[in-house]
Amino acid sequence: MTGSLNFSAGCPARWATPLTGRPSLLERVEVAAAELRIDLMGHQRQIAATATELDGSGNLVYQQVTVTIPRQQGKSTLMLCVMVALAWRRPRTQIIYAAQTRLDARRTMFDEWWPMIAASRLGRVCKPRRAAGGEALLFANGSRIGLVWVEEGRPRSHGRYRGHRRMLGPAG
Amino acid sequence: MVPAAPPAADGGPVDPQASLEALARRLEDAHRADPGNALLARELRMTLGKLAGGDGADDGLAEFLSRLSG
Repeated sequence: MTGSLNFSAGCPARWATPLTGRPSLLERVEVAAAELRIDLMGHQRQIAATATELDGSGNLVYQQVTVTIPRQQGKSTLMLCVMVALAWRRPRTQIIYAAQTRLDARRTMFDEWWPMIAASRLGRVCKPRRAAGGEALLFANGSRIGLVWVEEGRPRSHGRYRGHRRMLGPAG
Repeated sequence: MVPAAPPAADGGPVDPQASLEALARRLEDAHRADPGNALLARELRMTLGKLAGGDGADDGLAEFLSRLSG
């Protein structure tokens, strides 16, 4: 995939990192989306094309990607497509999804993502792990999507987070 | 290119699913290192197909996964 992609079918971002012409994982993200019966919108394709640009060694160019769009604009469904593409691209890839609370994280994973996966052929190479604290989607190639959330008021007796009201809660 | 040898058997019962998954991982590594090796690609596709479809049922999952893994 190159920078000649046309996203005009949707609503391209007003401000965005420009495509450079490097290869990207957009095609694989679109393959994952099609399997999950997700019709990616123009801005989602633009984000995927930019965020998954690869360097000459096949590694992701951007270590951190910030996307700011309104709610209900397809962030989590796009994330699912990107994560599936990343999970199957390389065996034993460890992916973490972060949410505000554990409940939010679980809802996204098990109420939104897993039904789409289970209804697709991916359901045969992926299984959910619902155990509290170890929530994850486990892929047959050893890759995993785990959860991380931010908890309020969780007690912590030592360490540099003492006195903070919010801390990160790991899962899986 | 030959996939790395599996760990020595300890004499315990074989878990077919786990063994198949381990084989698929080794084949994926080997295929990535030598993408032009059609024999490896075929073995990988067959292994993934077996993993995906159990007794050979194949609704295109192996082909789909190969597109996903590039």
